[in-house]
Amino acid sequence: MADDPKSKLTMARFLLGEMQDEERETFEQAFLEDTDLLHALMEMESDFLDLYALGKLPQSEKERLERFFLADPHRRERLSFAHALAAYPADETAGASTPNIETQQKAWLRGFKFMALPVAAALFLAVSLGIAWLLMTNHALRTELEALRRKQTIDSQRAAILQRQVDTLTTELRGTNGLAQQAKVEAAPGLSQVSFTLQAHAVRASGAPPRLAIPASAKVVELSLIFSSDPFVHYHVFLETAEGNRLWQRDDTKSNYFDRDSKKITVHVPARIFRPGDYIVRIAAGSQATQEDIAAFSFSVPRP
Amino acid sequence: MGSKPSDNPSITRSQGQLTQQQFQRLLQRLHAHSDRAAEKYEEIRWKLIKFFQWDSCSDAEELTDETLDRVARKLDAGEEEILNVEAFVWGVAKWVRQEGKKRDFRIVRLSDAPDYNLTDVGLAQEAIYRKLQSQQEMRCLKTCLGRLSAVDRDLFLAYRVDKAHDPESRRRLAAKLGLTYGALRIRMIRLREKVENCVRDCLRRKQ
Repeated sequence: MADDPKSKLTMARFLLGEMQDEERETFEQAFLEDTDLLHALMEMESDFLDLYALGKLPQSEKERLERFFLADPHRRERLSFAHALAAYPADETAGASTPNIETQQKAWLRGFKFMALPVAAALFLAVSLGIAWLLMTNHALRTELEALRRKQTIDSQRAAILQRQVDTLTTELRGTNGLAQQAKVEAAPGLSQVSFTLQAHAVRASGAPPRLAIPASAKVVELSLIFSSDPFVHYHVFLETAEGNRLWQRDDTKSNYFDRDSKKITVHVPARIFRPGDYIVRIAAGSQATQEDIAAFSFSVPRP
Repeated sequence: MGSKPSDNPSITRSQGQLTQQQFQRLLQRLHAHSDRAAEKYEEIRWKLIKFFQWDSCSDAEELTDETLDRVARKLDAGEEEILNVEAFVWGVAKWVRQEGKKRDFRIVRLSDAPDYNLTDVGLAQEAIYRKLQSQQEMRCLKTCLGRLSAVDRDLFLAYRVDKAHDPESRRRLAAKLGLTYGALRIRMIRLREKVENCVRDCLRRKQ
């Protein structure tokens, strides 16, 4: 039942979060009672992840998957695996066969390797989904993966040079780290976001800056920045190393009133850009020509 | 018809571990034969995990255990007759999900994800991180595939989406192995689960 096109469409709509509540509940009941349907759904889920990781989906379908399907943290974790699998060399198959393998299986698998080579791949998100049949030869895929790998290597080499420069400067300037005094930390176990609240200092504070311990599992660092009220509406937020290397910036950021006298801006920064060291977050306002520093927040990130 | 939890607002959050007796009673109600009961329990548990995961619940395993604990306690209490235990489980699961959603943290969707606005230096760091991460993932994948038997490893790689994605290829593959498509699919699901868990463990050890 689960393999006919109509069922596949229904399954895809479920996984893509395109069902209304009532239909969804009915469908849930169906897969809880029908183990075959559950298996077919699981297979489709893995196929979606693999297709996405292969980077072969048209942009519109890619976005369609991102909207709901890949919003799930568990699936995002599985996507890393799918990326690794997609990059796994196509011609790297098994090593030596074990002696107890059934002859029939061995014979078939040998045959399959030859059969698989010219096979066009990837179909289905498809059917009526519009995610379309992906037709590609293994040769084309391998060629593309090779090109991607070469590009990645060049990018990484460039990046490594920059990183060495950053590391040298960071090591030279790293001071002793004090205890966190201004930072309030809210880390939700098991979630990929960690939140810190920082209070602006009017003048450069003496003493050690707050230490923000970012768990290795964190993907996103949420910084809530509290500073004295001012008449501006739009702000620029900069994250810089203590050496002044700008790592991240966000323009046109709005603030909310935190209390009668202060405002709050919340920004989300990818956790991976933080390395042990000292950082400054600057809030500025105004156009580029007349930009004015509004507040600054210094902190350090300790070694895990 | 067995009673449904939605008709029964008296279900409260359970606390502590199940007693041996409560657990045994649940198994007995799933099947008279102990081996079959254990299989049934595992199957239901597995379905529940997917049920919660597919609804973006943040801790599917915890909610699954909570569901099964509540069902076991309810059966053990014997306050009311429950004729269809499995249907009762699904009812409790929906109830638990509703509660879970209330306490769940908001999930950061990719579309809501931070506006990264990385500068060149930030991008460079990001690229390094990604490169290291993907190298680590590839090493772990190779290690984990190396732990499979040669047959399983060949099969796993042959079933990949770029090799045999369409149902016809998979059907042919199953026929050549003397399996039904359904049986091959189950085998591949288990195999993939095994490799994914292995890679996850490997990455955690190396962090």
